[in-house]
Amino acid sequence: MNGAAVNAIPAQQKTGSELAGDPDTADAVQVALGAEHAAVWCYGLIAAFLPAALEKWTRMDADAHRARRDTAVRLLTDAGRRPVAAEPAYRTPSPVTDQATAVQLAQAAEHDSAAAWHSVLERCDDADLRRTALDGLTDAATRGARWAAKAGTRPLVPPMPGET
Amino acid sequence: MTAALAIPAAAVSVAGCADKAPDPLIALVRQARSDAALIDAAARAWQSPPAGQPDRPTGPITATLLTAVAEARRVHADKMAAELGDDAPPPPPADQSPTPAQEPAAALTAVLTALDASQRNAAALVPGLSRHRAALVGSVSACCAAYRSVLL
Repeated sequence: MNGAAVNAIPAQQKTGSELAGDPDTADAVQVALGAEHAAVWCYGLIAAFLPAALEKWTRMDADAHRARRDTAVRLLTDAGRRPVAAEPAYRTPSPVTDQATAVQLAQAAEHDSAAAWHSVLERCDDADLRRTALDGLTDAATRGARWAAKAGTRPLVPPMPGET
Repeated sequence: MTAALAIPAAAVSVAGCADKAPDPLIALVRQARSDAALIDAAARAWQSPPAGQPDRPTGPITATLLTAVAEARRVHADKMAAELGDDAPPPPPADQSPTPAQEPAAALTAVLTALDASQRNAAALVPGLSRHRAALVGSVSACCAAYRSVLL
């Protein structure tokens, strides 16, 4: 047996076993899934208050969160865990009544998503799950920066995205 | 006799050091510090372009943004140095020589290249670190990626 044979265990199975075995890891992925469910819901509300020129952004961002949500569902299901379901509605940090407050909600949704994936990084050892979590954190920070630029928020990027 | 004995003792100590690979965070601290200096210089180039270069209406905005990126890279260096504790590399001496005036576009390109490399180097370490460090370094990588995307 050489080193390559050890690596030949399917990545999915390795990830699944850590998710199946460590309740801390599974809880963190469930929280990330919850954040993605919430983000998908938020972008539905946000789209209603943004002009047509920004429609492409909201659609792209909503699609990205749907893809992350589906990844989290698959990881948990493969590990024999029941993925948390989306809530019928969510309470926003402040009322959304116009474009400015809709952009604020987009920033809040990205902040929550970044924090949730950062928390997965703090609670897992599996290399593939870490890459998934890093992708989630990086994309949320990047989308958050774009919305911050739109809102005029500074700094555009927190120095340590995802840290709370 | 004491002096003769001291030589093998020193040799053993050197050999012991050579066996231990340097902490991978040391290179990330150095990179964060050199990025901060590079980005500060780019911010100056955008704030006051060299003689003969046209003033750009976006100059001050880009300069302010670059200053924030440099600040973030200093935070990264400090956080990772704190994590390293006694193993942290000493801060480089303050650069006395004035940075030659740069062409703004070239300075910005250099910043984008540096942020790309910093994002990749940090991301590459994430799978192999302790949980705490994976989150720390992952956050550094995400910050570099996000700033790079808004600087494009």
